[in-house]
Amino acid sequence: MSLAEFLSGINYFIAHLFGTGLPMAVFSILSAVIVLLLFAMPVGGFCTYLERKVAADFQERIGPNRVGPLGLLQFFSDGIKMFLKEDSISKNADRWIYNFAPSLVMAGSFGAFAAVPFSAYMIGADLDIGIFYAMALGSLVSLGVLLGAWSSDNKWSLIGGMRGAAQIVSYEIPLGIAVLSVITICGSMNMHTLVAQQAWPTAGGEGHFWNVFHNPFMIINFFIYFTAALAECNRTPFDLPEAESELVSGFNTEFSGMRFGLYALSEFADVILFACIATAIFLGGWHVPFFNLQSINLGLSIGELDLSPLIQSVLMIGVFLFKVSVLVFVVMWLRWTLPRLRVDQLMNLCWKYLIPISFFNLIGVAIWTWAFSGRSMLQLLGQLLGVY
Amino acid sequence: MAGLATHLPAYLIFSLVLFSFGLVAALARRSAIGIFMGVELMLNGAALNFVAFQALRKGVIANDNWLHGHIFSLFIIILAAIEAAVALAIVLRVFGTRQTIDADRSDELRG
Amino acid sequence: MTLADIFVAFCFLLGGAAAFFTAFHPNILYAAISLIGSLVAVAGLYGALGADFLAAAQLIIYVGGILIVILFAVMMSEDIYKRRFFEGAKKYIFPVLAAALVFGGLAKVTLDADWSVATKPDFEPTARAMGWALVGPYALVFQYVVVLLAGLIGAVIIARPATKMQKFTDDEGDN
Repeated sequence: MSLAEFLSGINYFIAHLFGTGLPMAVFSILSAVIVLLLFAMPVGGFCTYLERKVAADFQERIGPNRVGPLGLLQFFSDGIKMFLKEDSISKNADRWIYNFAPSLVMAGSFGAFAAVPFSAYMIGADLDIGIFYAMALGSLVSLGVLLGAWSSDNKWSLIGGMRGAAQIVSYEIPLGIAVLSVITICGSMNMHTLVAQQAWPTAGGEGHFWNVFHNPFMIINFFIYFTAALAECNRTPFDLPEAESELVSGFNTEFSGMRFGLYALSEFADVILFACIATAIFLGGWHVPFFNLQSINLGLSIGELDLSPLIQSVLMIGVFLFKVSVLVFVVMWLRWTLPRLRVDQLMNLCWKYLIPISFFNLIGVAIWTWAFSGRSMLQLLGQLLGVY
Repeated sequence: MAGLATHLPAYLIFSLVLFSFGLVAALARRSAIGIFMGVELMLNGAALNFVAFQALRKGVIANDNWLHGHIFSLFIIILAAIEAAVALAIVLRVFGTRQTIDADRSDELRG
Repeated sequence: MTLADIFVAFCFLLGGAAAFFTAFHPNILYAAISLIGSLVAVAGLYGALGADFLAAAQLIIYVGGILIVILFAVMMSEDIYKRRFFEGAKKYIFPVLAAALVFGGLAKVTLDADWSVATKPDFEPTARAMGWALVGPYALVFQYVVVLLAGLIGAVIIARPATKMQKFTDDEGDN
């Protein structure tokens, strides 16, 4: 059952305790918030540890290895350190906006996790506009960056923040058009539908395997999406807004302690979010080649509760998270490999290269979908070879 | 409070509230951007009106399944976006020539 | 008193308070930021009214696009730098009067009318229907809006600092 159904089961139980009305409403909202945070925050924190280990590996050193076995608890100690830091604020900084800006970035990054389909039975909210909702919340991040930079009362922060906002807003366009190409193939924005259509092609089924292999244009689209997502998250090679060696730390210079922790956590959550969405819409979500995970039925059951959805779900989540971690590893790999783009090169890349290419791809995908009735390269190959 | 979500006059009064505050902002603000923010508030009030009617007055026109209100609001949003770009361009140019966007002081015609 | 009612009430309060600050706060940056609250409240109300596509579109276009444009314009304009905070209360008398008249008159008309509401609207997902409408009855308007891209190009041309006159010079004439 989906996460929503599980929570509604608890809701039913609580409703019998409290009745409907205000306590019920508060509980519903709180439960959604807590579940999202319980997933996003530990994973974001773990990502900081992973980043340091991956960086160490690329730079031929060891990285954190003292706190806990293999340094695995490093992010706990980082979190505790950040909580305990003094909450200092510059004299002329704008207090209200200074406190408010990190929460905008956090809301944008974490809220979109509700639309990620981890398995066929587990999604936060099965919205009909699933992918569109994720993009809508991603646009709140640019506001948070700009306001945080302004409120710092620091010229360099402001430069970093304005560049950051301009970059995020610009790269939303190729991102959106790449996603639009996927929606053109699938005909729906619903995340479950998008993933379900990427099953391995069989004779009676309607899967056309992973969207990235659907037609030649989609391969280019995947790279455009990946590049634009890197720019959206302010990751190298697009991390000029938080450039370490140029603007001290860009838009989050004046933020310390947990406020900076929120920015950093939101950035990692953003990376994971875009990797999750890329996995769901391009890399087939929880589908593996040659085998349909939904057909696993071991016949196990506890009483009359059928356990096979649970087993299938666990396997699907495993496949999904494996693909997500591959993408996140590539993102971290790029950080320590590629140099940083200058801001005019960055804007040039978006407006003069990525946007025309993505438009061309959209037209190409539309023509392919019309010409071959939505069948993918694999399906056409199968039909050619007479497999089905 | 009960049934507020389907109470059409509540939505209409709220959109009127937005519209009135937008009117105040558009008339009273001195900066050109402030006037523009008032205009945006008014547009939002109107768009909300359309969507409220579309959602809560269903079945008034028989056999009409189109989402007229939603489409109208979508066009309001799109046109507001284009208008924002043009307004910013004008503000930048005015700021370039006059070094101020104070609408109260920008009342002299110069060559 | 379901969750929907509480959510709608929250959106009303947030939107109303934010609109109040947009109209009356002397600092124009704070006015722009409270416009965020107003637009997000309206997006929430779109969601509560079953317009899911429109709510997401409002967030992307208004909050993630137009507000960034407004904030850039505010941050680049002089009012912040010169810290002119006090707009002057006398300036607000006539606008408040006019707005009160408009609000009062329209509110009376609204509340006097007889709105026969459908008992409980069952909301369907709207994205597909909007797509069909855009190539159905509203196809002409759709094409027209696409032509308005010319407006964007015009904006770019207006905003370019073409001649030396638009650049800033100090007293000695050096740039």
